[in-house]
Amino acid sequence: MKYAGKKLLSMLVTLLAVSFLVFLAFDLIPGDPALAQLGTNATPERLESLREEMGLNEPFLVRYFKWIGAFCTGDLGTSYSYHISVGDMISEKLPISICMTLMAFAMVLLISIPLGILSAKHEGGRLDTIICTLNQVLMSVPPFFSGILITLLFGIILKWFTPGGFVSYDENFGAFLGYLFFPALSIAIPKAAMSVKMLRSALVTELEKDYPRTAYSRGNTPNQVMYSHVLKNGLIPVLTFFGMALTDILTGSIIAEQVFAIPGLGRILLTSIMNRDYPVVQAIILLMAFVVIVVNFLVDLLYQKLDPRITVE
Amino acid sequence: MKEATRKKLIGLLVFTALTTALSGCNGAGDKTGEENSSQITVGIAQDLEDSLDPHKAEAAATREVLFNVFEGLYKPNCDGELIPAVAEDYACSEDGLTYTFTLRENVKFHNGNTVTAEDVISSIKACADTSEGTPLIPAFSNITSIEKAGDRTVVIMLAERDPDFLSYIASVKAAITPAGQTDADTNPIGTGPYRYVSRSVQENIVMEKFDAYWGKAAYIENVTFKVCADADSLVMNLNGGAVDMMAHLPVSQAQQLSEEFTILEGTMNLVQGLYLNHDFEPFTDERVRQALCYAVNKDEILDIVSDGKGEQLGSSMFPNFRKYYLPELNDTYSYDPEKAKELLAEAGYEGRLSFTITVPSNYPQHVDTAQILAEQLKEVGVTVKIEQVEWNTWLSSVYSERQYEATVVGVDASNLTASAMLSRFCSDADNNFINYNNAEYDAAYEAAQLEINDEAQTQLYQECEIILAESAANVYIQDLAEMVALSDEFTGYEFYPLYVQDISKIRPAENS
Repeated sequence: MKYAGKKLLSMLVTLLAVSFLVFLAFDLIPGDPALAQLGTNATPERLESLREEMGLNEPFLVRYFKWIGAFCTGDLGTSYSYHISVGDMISEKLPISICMTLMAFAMVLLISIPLGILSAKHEGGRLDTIICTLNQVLMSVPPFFSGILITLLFGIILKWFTPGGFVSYDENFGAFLGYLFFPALSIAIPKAAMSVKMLRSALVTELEKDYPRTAYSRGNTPNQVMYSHVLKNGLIPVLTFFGMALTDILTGSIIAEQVFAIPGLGRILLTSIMNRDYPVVQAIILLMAFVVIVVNFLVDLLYQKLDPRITVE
Repeated sequence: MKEATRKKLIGLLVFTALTTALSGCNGAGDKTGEENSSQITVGIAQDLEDSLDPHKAEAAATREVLFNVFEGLYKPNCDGELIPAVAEDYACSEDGLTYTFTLRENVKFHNGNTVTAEDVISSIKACADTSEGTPLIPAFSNITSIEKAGDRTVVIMLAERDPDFLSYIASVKAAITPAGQTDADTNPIGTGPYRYVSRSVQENIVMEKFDAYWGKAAYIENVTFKVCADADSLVMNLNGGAVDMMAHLPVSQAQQLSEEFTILEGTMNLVQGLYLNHDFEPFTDERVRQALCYAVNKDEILDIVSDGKGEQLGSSMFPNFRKYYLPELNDTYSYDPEKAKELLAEAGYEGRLSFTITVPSNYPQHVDTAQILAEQLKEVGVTVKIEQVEWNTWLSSVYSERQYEATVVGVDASNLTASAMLSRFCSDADNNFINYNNAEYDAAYEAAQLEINDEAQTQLYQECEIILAESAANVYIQDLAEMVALSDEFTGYEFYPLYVQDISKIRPAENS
């Protein structure tokens, strides 16, 4: 309980710090939201009245506290450029980012766990060598590059999907997931490769310990040793990585969204930064920070579940 | 239990994804000719990051799309003439101060209501409101009163004569919208051939044909404006069949398109140039500016940037503005590097002139042009540094604060008036971002504004263009080539002398 309280407090402090930094960053970079809106039609008077309307003429701290005050009451504000509620804008795009992240994460798990185990089981064997070599290559391919290759191969040459033919989830959910498959794959590949490597080495280390030998001597089959004894212990270091991978995938989806022309959160984030649309940028970044913190918290709790000897303080 | 459900869910998710992806079926990709004829997907390079209220919409990219939804009392046609729209006629008093508009009978808004004189008055008033300083349409500060004179008659009185008044009335900004509408930012209601249906941020804007349109009905039922922000994925979008039409294509991309597209060629109706900050010490000397003009080889720029397409320019006016355009100004400075060197030596800058070109990085044509300029200027001993900035930084530091030395950009006209191109060079203009200060020009422009006779006025505006050219206000380069890709399934695209995509003219090709 005490732990949860502590965690919660540190979470709030982190979020506050993130929001402050983002706010500050926007104050420092060149570009003015009012001018971004008026473009080349700006006249000094109109610029001034728009700045007043947007509340940009107030001192930095006043603006910050006003914003954070409204944010805490659930009012995320209105987008400067679109004139629609930031809450609506984000909730419309959230399913896209969630689906893509979950799909990519599921791919990481589905690929890496079986392969990691297989590789560890055949340590030093031919299969292990093949997996390890392949791993090394895939690990070093950045998602934007694999994204382009995938688009070229599956989109242009094989025509398994239409590049840029994104279908909205409320239009056709099946087609929507279908379109997300390849972007998710491009994000998942390097992460899965890293996971295989981590899991393999964790399992190999565990297999060399005394307790697997004891387990064998008690008459367990290799599979029993692997699945009921070694795997649990081997997963602990990998779990941290999975947590990191999940948050990485979420933020990495910004790039995949660009490459595959998916109008998700990342795309809004980028254009909002370019338009100096603070309310939108603030909300999305805070949301992402929040997810990162929560995932880390969950990973901590999971440790305990996997290994009761670990206590989180 | 929970664990199990989650596992199942994830499993299901992956399974569905796998099956749909592997079976190769994808909603957007499936096209059959029948369905297509009443649906067109138009690619737009930029989302409407703007209010959808036509009075407040600032970006040209927004107005170009909203043109299909809104109309003013008058509107431009593709020849640049102003034709009656919500009004069926107008009369102008002899002194040019009183405009009497007769409204067309039974024009419907997209919400089904009939347009009344009150709607017209509230719309014009919204654009002329001076309570926050400059009104939304600056020229409307000239309006002294706007009154109803009968059910279908609206009288607008001006303080001063303004021959361009009808052009402002015909702009999308002066569109007629329902009086008292409070959600205009997000729910545009106009009188145009298409009705707004929905939008999804960074994704699309959907419109459908308005059946109760007063004029010639549109051909195509449903229009989706799809945001294709990434230039590289754009060609794939077109070739892959996700987009049927795309305007403002650079030549390099148009060349990559498959044979299923017709490429229409026009010009962008803007003046691309190396704009010089006249407050930057070397550029205060006319000889230096002229030297730059002589040093630039426009043929080469056009060849490299757009495969020789585009129109070379010599002043701040583009060819589609036929009435004012003077083609001979293009020959004011022919390519002559020797002369450029001489002029630089005369001005005392031989081999020691260096400056920075600040160029907005989101316009590849301008970036390319800047790079070629840098090479060409190097040959006459001028050192050029190129600084790429994103558009909003350009807006604030170059356009608004004028903290720059030179920039390559395209200047366009927001309406069909000569002043839209020329007013910015008056020394006291708010948008005179080059700090041009020439008493002779100010006098000529003012005289043009005051002139009542149309022919004499045109001549005075041309005089302004000549002054700009002769004083080498900027290094004028070209009106960029504009490529429009239209799928073979459609025909009927029309170029406007303004930033407009008129979808109502597009129809299914007969033999498809």
